[in-house]
Amino acid sequence: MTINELYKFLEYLTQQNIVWAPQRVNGDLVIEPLVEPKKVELTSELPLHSFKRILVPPSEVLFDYQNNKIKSEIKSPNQVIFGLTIPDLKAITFLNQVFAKDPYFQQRLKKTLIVGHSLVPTENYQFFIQKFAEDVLEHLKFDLFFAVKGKEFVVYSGSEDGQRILDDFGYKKYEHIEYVGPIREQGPETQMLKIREKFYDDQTIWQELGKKCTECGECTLVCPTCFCFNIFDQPDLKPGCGQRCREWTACFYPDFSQVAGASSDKEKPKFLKNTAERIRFWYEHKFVRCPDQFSLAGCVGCGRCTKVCPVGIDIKENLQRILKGKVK
Amino acid sequence: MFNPYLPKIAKVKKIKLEAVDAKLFTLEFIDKKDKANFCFTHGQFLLVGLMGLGEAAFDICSSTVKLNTFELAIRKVGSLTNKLHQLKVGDLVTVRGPFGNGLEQVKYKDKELLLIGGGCGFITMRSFALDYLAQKLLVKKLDIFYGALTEANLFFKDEYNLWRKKIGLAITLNKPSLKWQGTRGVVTNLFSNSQDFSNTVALIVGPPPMYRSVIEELQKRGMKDSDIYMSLERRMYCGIGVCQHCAIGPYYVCKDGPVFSWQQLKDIPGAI
Repeated sequence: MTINELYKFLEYLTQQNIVWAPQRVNGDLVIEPLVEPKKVELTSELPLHSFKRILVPPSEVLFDYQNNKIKSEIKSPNQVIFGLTIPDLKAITFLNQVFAKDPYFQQRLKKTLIVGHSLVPTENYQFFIQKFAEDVLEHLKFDLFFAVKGKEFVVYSGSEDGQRILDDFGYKKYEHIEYVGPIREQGPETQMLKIREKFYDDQTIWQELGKKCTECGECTLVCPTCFCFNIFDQPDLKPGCGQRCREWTACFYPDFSQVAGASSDKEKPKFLKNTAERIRFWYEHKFVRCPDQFSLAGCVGCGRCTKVCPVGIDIKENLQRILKGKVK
Repeated sequence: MFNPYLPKIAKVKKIKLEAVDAKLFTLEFIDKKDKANFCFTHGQFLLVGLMGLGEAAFDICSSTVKLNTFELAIRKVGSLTNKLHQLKVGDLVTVRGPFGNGLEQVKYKDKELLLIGGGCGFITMRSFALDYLAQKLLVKKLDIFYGALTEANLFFKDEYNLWRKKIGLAITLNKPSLKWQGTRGVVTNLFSNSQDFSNTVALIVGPPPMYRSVIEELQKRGMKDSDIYMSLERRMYCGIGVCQHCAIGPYYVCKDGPVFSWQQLKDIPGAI
């Protein structure tokens, strides 16, 4: 497909969908609804804020209640997320495992056309980034993929929805790649398994990071795989009515592990007692619980957390240190 | 697709003042299907809530075999439990669950079972006691150690006489009145040198500071780490191992617990 055909295709997509695509606004690369197809920027650069808010909204209604009557309508607009790099496709693949039984996420994903491309991020705070190869694609969740070849694109479909939209648009020269699940035939990634194995070897690292980290939670916001949430009720002005909602939270916030118990004048009991325990918890989630649960790391190596950290905590460095194991 | 976040509705059938700041609620599902499908294992919990105030986790304290209704003993400790205490017979609550792993019978079948409850942790023990009295618990012997603060804090007082016909129930009070004839101090004061726990399985439920000292006493008397079980409390929202609030090392309290063996937890920093 040529670039002009691509612009036409984008034009076609915007007729019936909201098309989220990377664009340059005031110098920053952001994912916003596309109005003018030529404004799309296909680049190896990662937008600081990923697709995450589109598939896992910062806040969403689980159901409406009216006294004790529950009304739940799971709706999602038809949308396209265009221009995702391989690490971000990996993040979607991961979230699809986490929310495999979540009707809200699955409904949204069903209504969303995921479109990736092959330009590989190369900034030095990134790590375990996979290069594009056809055998990488079969383990990624996508509907369409544009592999850059010279000035043109080789087009792949990764789902029936992807095929249908190309057929409807009238493009025939695509290849189909069947999604075979997130894990490669040779098994889970060895780097991830090594980190898992050595995770508890050196406990001094958390004490040190605990002194540095300011618990701002920025890393959890920009992370494409951080998804933890609170559930809360939002009552209406009408008595007995309201909504049960869920919203993003961060394991760095002090009330994350707080339970009821003490009287109001005393501090309530918490299970993550200090910054060191909270930052360990964040790493534990990504490199212990996720590998155990899904055979996938809860980290795609995009390095966004390192980029935003106000005190220079570098995830790549920390993982290298975990891999070194016990300091003797 | 099944929506795990939609609660069932249950009606309050009976309320009994259980202790100075606690009430025993008897609840019944409104929907016949919910009622028919309800079953649970000792130690499993429900997320019970009120619209507008959200949900919290409570251990079920009724029999696992008589399932027309179910019971929760709830202490007033926060905004939701305060509101629950204002409920009247006929009022409705939301219920999700049961969740997690309790203590299944295969883990203690044909052995002796020792339940150690501190404070609210004693609530969990009632479902074992009721099933044992109804000859539905396959153990050689059932003992319960209970540590509470004062006489006024004791749960299920009216039932002790009945329990004691078959169950070894030992109680200690940390701050009793002058009239108290029984053991004083913390729950470990109920251990004695003559006890041998080499063929016993234990379940500990109580405030976190209690666990380590109790585990030590059990180990001293021959109990294996794989026979020491404990139920953990954590903040939780989803109940299905997603939201992350209740995570401990590689585990989720809501999904892998709340009952864990010491064998599972002993190497995990911050577990107890």
